[in-house]
Amino acid sequence: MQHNNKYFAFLLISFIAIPFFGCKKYVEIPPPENQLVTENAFSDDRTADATMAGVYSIMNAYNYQFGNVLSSFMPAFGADEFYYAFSTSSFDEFKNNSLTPDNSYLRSFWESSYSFIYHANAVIEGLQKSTGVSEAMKNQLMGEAKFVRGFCYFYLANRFGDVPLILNTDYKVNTSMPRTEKAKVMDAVVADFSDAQTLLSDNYISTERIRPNKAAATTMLARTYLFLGKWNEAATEATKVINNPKYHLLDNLNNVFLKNSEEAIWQLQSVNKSTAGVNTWEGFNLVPFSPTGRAYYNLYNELVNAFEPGDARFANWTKSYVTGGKTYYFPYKYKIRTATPVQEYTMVIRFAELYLIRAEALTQQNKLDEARADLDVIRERAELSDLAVDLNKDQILAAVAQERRVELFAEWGHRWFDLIRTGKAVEVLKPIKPDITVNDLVYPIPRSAMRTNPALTQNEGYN
Amino acid sequence: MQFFAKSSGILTAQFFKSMKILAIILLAFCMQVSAESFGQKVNLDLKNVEIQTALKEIRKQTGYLFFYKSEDLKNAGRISIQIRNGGVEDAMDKILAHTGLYFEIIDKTIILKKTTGKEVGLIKNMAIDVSGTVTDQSGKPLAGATVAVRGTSHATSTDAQGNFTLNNINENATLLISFVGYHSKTVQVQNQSRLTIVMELAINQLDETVIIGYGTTSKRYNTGSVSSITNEVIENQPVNDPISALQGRVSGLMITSSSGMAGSGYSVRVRGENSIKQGNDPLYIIDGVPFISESLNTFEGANGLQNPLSTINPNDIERIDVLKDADATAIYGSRGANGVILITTKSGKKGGSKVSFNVYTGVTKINRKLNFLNTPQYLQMREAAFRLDSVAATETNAPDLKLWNQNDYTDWQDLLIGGTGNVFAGQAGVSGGTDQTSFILSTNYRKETSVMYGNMPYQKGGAHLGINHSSKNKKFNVTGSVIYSMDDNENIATDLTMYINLPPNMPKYNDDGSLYFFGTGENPLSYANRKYKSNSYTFLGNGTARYSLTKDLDVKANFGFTDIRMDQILTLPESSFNPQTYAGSSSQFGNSSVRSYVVEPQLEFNRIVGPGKLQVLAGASWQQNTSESKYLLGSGYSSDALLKDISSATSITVRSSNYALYRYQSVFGRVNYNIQRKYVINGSFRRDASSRFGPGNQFGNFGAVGAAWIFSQENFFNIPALSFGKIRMSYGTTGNDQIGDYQYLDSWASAGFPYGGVSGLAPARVYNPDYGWEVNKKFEAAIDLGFMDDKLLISAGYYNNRSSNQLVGYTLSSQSGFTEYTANLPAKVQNSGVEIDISSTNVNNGNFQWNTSFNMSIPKNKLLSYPGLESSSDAASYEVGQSIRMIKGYHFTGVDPATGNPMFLDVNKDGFYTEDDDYIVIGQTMPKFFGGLSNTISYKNLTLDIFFQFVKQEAPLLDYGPLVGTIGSRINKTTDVLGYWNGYGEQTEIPRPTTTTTEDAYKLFRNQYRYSDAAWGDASYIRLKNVAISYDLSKLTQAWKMQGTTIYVQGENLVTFTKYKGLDPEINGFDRRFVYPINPFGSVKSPKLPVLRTLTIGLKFSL
Repeated sequence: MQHNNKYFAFLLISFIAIPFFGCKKYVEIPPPENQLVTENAFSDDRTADATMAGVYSIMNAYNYQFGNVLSSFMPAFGADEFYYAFSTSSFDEFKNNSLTPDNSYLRSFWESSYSFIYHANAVIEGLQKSTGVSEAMKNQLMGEAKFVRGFCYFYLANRFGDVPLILNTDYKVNTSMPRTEKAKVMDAVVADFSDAQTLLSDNYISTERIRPNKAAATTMLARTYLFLGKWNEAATEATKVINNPKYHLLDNLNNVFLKNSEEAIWQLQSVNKSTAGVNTWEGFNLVPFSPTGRAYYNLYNELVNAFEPGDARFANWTKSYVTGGKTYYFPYKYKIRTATPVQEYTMVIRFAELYLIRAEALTQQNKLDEARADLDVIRERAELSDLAVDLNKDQILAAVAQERRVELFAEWGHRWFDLIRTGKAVEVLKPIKPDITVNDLVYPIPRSAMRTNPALTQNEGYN
Repeated sequence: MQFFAKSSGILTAQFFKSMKILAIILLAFCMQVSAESFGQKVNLDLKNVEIQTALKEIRKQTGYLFFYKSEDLKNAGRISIQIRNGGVEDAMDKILAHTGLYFEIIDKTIILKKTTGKEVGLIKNMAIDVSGTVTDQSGKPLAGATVAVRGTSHATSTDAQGNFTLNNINENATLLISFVGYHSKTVQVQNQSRLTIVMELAINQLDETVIIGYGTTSKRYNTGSVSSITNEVIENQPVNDPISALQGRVSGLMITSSSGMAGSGYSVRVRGENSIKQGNDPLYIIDGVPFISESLNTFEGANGLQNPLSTINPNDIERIDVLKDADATAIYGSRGANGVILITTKSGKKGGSKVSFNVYTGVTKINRKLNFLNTPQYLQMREAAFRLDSVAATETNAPDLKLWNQNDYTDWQDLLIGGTGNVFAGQAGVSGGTDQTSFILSTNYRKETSVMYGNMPYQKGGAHLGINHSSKNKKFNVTGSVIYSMDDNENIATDLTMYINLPPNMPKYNDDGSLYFFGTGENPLSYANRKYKSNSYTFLGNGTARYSLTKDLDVKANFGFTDIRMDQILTLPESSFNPQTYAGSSSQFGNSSVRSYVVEPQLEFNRIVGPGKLQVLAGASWQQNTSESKYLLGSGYSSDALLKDISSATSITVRSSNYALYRYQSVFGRVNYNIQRKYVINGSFRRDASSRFGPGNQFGNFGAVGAAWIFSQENFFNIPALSFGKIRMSYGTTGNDQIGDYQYLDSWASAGFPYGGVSGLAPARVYNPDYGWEVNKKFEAAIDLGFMDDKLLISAGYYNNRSSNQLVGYTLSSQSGFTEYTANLPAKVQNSGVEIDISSTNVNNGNFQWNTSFNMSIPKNKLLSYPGLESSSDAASYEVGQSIRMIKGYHFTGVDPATGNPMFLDVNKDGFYTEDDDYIVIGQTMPKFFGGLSNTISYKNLTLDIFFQFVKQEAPLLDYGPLVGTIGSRINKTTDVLGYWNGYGEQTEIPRPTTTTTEDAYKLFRNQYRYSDAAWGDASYIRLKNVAISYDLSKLTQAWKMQGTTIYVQGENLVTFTKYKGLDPEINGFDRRFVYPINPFGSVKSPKLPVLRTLTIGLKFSL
């Protein structure tokens, strides 16, 4: 027994002593089954591709996000496009141009933009270090990442003015970075779109038109130049896409917003299956529940009246309903509230815009005939007669603004940005938004961002 | 060897310095040690008295009885004697010095005999070997009992079989046997070589067993701070959750419910909050096995995040011990920083089989209601808003004024949460045992219905089996316990309490009987159709095997396994939607599980060494937790009847899918040395390694030293009323690793939905592998006093805990792409405070007993330092010198009589009200003081137990936070708003009604008022928390062989005294589990169901 005890004691003591001597392995655990360490994420084409697919998936995953309502509806409320029929304070703040830095949609826009920027920066850095990804895939993904980064900064700068320009993942430095002058941000936007244009190919990486290609980068570059007043460059870039045989204006206006329509340059795929039958979140919100029911978003009368008589876009892209003896209109570009299988995707960049970009750029360069020709292409598709041949520069610029207004309404804030960049916002909006001032044209920096970064300053007119 | 080679920097110079000081103090104590016996104290100052007088005095002081022949004392003469704090034996020696008598002590009796001359010789000459067994009253051997020879330093302790041997002792020596939790006993050897000593359980509270980490001690000798609650207290409360049974009962322990719904969670805080941004949950240990504190919910139903402990049946619990200071918690090393809660389940007792039953049933109601405006008052307020805004009311902006019946009245509060719930609970069990084996088996069932609109029963049931077996020679012992419990929680998707402020004239139904909706608005009655159901399954198994290698050395191992699962289903049928917004039915499915095992081999060494008793513990621990969860969403059902069937969904979306492995490994040890039962020193150490840290940061060292000086044992100590006095101090370090798993990993995770056929990835976090253990240094000094034979016990302690190297989700500005990353923050947080515990036996005579206990805690939380705070992302959220849970806001200065607009202090006088710049500290969320007062009175068969809980604190009022609408918007307000500004020149404190977003009054309310001290205030309360009346019918039922038959009435949360302007001062809108002042408003939740008032009647008996 005595002998046994000693043996037993020896065993137990050794058992206890194990952790004293390098049993360090026990707490060194493998990575979790649902995550991929960064080295592995950029080890081959397939996973690298997935890192970029993730951005688009998140952009459009839920309602009221960057890839849908946040980018299209909020600026439309602020301009004279459409409004929410009921009163809720966070929508009303946009509608009344009385934004507060606490507005949750504002915050969401800021935060999601910067999270996509981080995502894009992480992809860029991952690709730079990667050895396993093929050259072709590297170019494609690098191009997409730069495109996405440029795209986010384009909207940030045009909404908030000066914003922190963050071009890497060094979060410890980036978290306290002050605002960068808007002009410098726009330079970076041009650089990103130019790089993307070089890196991306004419073909889509996907079978569908749901990831940016060279044409998407070129269009964004053209638009950026237009915003910057670089007329020649804007026209040049726009021409490149206009001459691309992949894209056409569709004769049937009702088919424009279908998925992979020939007018689509970049669409966001409907990814979310959690609300049954959602095609686009825009359609889900705008199209009434029942065909005869009321809609929740009504066009301002100003927009309704802006359509020339006989404009096919009014007949096909708006719809009316009657309530309380009054007729209201709502945007009807997307026609599906819910339906399976999915027929519509969210349109982000569309071919028609390029004619309008070029028309404006050409007008500014006094190439009035060519400009008018571009506008007529758009007008003809809308079943309108050609513009009069004797229009002067100002008249053609007005015609550009008019066509942009009725062609691009309810899409990605075109109207809001056009009013601002042409300096007409306060004057045009005053009749329906008596309180509007020039300060309201730049959104306030969200409170949450100000709080967490003492280096940020607030825009004028907000506190 | 690398295990010790690396210094983690945790045992800092300061720690060593403090240890040095403690060592010096202890050394000073040791110098006082004399060869004093273990007897009871006697103080005599007598001059020229008869011996009988002296003996009477001793009897008075000690309770010893004397037997003597009176003739023996007749000629003994008179004596003078002076003794201060002497032992009985010493006193007797002196008294009998010249009398020719000698004495023997047997139990509590002293027998005087005449010396014949023989004895002297024997005493002087004979030395014998004595062996024996020490057992409790049931015959169970007591291992580790001290057996000492009076007047010598000769002592030993018993082995696992209760056996001891003392060699070479005087055959007439007196042995003094002591064991924690038992009365000490003296035994005359009287030439016996084999003794059987039966110890009596101590009724003195000081000697009751206290469970500590990996061992036990008693209140008397404990060097640390431990508060305990036993089964008697738990049984008095008809509660579902063992945690709620602790509310108000334990000093230093603040427990707040998150909702009155069954199964909902609690915020449990031991001595405040140490960690600025990470978990502050204590470590839970059930029968030696760590239990999770995080909820398993994959999504929330109306009862929020369910508390995993809620499935445990309170009545299966024998006792709960709360470990608070460094001395008590350092043995748990890196997880001890926030205190440790040890739960011990019941075990079988030796004796015949006993079958017991206990059932109760009762009703529940919310404990408090708000006074809302009635329809005329409400409509008046609305009209005023439109009038003052100069806006016309229309059917779209004011359906309540233009569309709805002006005379309708619905008391939404009453309709939605004013119901009466039922509760029924029953349990049946059998227990028994023999010398070698004992067992307990009990089963329980409980059902509650809700006070909320819609029928939502909560049921739970479970079984507990405990077995204890020893080998015949008692060298080998195994214990095992298994708990299996499950609950079935039928709930709804959202807590309807948030809708109690709907307009009182809003219609509920259309004329055709269908639910009424205004526009896209809500009708809470439709939510009753959003069924939520959760099922939790908890399996806990643990076993301990112990083997006595030698009489001093035991080897033992704990094994534990837990498997906790939760299934959730939420269905959203068409009937639960506003038809205008209905977009198809859907359902949500959640499954989660946590499996863990723990293996803990240990060595225990027990021996009398030098002048004291030495206990040494060494052990190791391996622990693994695997947690997994899935959250699925199904949509596109062909029928709402199929919503619970995921395979009937045409589309299934994975909302989240998680997996985490957590491994943990330690070595630990403790040395306890008890010298002469006067000086106790206790040192503990733990070295931990955790997989939650990146390579190079995984190891951490923790340790503590505690010391106690029982000064009432000193010779020089002489205050008759003071029966017990102890000073104790402890200092040490503990840690915290509640940061989640894999935070050091640079990785990508699923982006959610596949895009273009590619399953997308997104960065899981920003990459920072360089973070290590959070360190919490705890100091405590306390005094424990007992008066009048320990009938009155007072314990008062001061603690000071400083937490540094804070592990935080370091706030990043969102522009960096993420909102936080895990890192060590150089900030230092101090939690200090005073805790007082008083327990008193006021009356104790046969039929009538009255006991009172009182506890109070006065905690103070302070941010001591935060280098770089000014330029950090936390600049607006924290202030050095303030509580880490401070709340900032505007200072409301009144209402402008000219405009009715609220006005605030413009701190920087720039003419604008600006967040941060114009903020002042308006309060803090942690309580200022809290405690409880309990009285137990029993007279004959009737026992009455009354418990009051009190909390002094501040909280958000009804109008606080981002979810609050203006006065005058389309929501109801309480009658507190009456007297609102209604026209030019009015002097009032209540801003004017407004409902138009462009109005200044509207903006000032939304941007300033609801974040100001006008909406923040006192939420202190005194609550009659528990009343239990029971009547023992045993005598009446004896004829039916029923024992312990008791009929009882119990009430919970019966009356609340408070001035709080809100629903329930306890659940006051802050979800304290998640309060981080990163954005002080972000943590304010919509109103939750108040805690319930419960009244039950029950019966228990056994056969």
